Amino acid sequence: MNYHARRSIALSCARLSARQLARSALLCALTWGVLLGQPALADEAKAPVELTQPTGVSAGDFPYDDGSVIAVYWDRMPYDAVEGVEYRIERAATADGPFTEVMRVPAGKHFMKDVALPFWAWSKNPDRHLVQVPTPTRPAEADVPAPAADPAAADDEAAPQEEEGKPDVGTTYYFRVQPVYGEQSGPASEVVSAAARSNWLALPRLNNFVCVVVFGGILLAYLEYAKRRELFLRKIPGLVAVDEAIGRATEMGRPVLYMTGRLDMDNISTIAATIILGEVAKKTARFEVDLKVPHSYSVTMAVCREITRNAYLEAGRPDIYRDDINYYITEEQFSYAAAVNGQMLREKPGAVFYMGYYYAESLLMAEAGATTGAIQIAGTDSESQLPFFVTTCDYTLIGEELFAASAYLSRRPELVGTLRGQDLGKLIIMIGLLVGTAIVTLAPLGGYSTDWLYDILRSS
Amino acid sequence: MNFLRQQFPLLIALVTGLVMIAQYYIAGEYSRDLGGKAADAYIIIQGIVIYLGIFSLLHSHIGKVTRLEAGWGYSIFMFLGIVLMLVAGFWSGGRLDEGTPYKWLYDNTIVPLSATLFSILAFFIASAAFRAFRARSVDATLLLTAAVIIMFCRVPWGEYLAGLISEEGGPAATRAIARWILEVPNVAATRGIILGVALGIVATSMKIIFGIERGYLGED
Repeated sequence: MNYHARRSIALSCARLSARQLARSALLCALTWGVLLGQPALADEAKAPVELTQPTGVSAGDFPYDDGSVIAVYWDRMPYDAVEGVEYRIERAATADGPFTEVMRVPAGKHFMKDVALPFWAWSKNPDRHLVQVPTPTRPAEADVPAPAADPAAADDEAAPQEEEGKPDVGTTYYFRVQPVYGEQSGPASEVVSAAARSNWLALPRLNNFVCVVVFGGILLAYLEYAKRRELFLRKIPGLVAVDEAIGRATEMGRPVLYMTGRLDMDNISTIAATIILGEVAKKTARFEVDLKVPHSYSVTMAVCREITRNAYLEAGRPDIYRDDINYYITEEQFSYAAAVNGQMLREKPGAVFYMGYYYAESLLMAEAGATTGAIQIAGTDSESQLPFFVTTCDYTLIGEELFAASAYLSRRPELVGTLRGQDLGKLIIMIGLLVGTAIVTLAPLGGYSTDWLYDILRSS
Repeated sequence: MNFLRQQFPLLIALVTGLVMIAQYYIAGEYSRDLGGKAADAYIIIQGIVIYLGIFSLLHSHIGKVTRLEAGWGYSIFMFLGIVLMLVAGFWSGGRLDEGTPYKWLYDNTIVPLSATLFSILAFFIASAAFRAFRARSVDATLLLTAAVIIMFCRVPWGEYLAGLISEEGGPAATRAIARWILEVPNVAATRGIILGVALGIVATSMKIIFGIERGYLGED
């Protein structure tokens, strides 16, 4: 290649580079221009909004609580629909201030209708804002201006924040509400005041109270009815088999193993299990068969000792009662299961009872029991463990049958009467389910709201 | 004396039961405090009665060792365990913090042993399922059918096979079928049980509070 040719190529390369450089520079300029122009564009998007003074502002104690919340209300404003508008809620210890921001909430949220309280206890006004401001705790904060809550944390959630100590009930606090939009602030509302107080009545739980009263009335009515007339009890195979199981253990000369569940005496299914133990203990005393009751809680063990002692006394065999019929193992879940499994494999019980509430150890124990050839009867209200008991045990008391067992085994009229009361309760629930299903299916077709029905059914 | 043994416990149950029911319907600060104090009282009772448990445990294992009952050797390990944990507990100053001998011992003995026992559950589930899935009755056949469908829909090869029929619709359909079985008939049955249990709990509680059920006191 000669000199001219090489120079021509070099020049064309240089021209190309210059063009590329120019293009790159243009792109950079455009990019930076766009990036630098962003705030300006954003500012342009946030065109000034006419933020007027919030009207209808009021404050008051939030009902049905222990005084931990003061409610601040105000009207729906025209600028609520504008994206980005917020309300700043300020609190002070005196009417003159100084005011400190305690919450900041989006303008389009937090209305009275959003509060999850039922219709009989709360007016679900869609045009009134409501913010629940946590009451300062006493005594440290009571005499000083209230500290600012974390506004960022309160952005989306105006529910009361957890504060340590007891709420400063009875002290008047002053509030004002101010609309803000980016850097722009509207005029603050007039100052309103309120003091939190501890409320007495939990009116939202009225539905629960009515249910308990009605159901309690039905139970007591049937209790009286059963004293005058004999009531029919359907056969519960699991309870019919109790005699068979204990009889078989007696014939085989093997012990009866009884478990009261994995919860303590503060659980109702454990109480039900201890009551059934009394009936089982009477039978083992009559048949003179060895009874073993391993426990995972000392309180349950102490109660069961008393029950077993009385059962043996009632069966006329106090001579064969021993304190170590009931014995403590451990509260540890799997250690308990291991101990019971070991005992089952060593002693090969003739009958095993699993009554009460169980967790994952249910299958461990019931499978080990099944391998020993024992008759196994389970009764639990733990719906997650029911399938395991159903597959591994000979008989299973499902859910409510556990609570019916004492009436079934003792046949005392007043206890049998309450069973009939439970049945009537179930009938009422079934009718309620059918009616409720019909209402929520048909009401929307006619344009009617069914929120009231959900309020009635909801637990508060 | 008869009053103390028979009527007095029933009176305590009645008053405590009614107070705790009222506490649920009263919203105030005192009500909340009362609930907390009742829970504390129970913890105190547990703390006192735990000595009965320990005494029972020692008594039963001493009996096993002295009588040389089957498995008495395990009782020796139980005594060793108690002594070891007691020493570690005192050495740790009664604290359960990270790095204390007590915590170390707990993490390296109880936790792995419990995990081992828990893992056996997988095999027990298989053996229990084998028994349950034998179609000996209409109920068992229904259970078997539902289980097979759920298993087919939940395991990867089920989705793969469904994908052979329809690449997009197949796996989605299997997931929808499994979800429907779990969320509709399964939930309906579970809720039926839960409603019955709830009524049973309310009825039993009322019977205890009003002294109709006295079996938990050892009375008929």
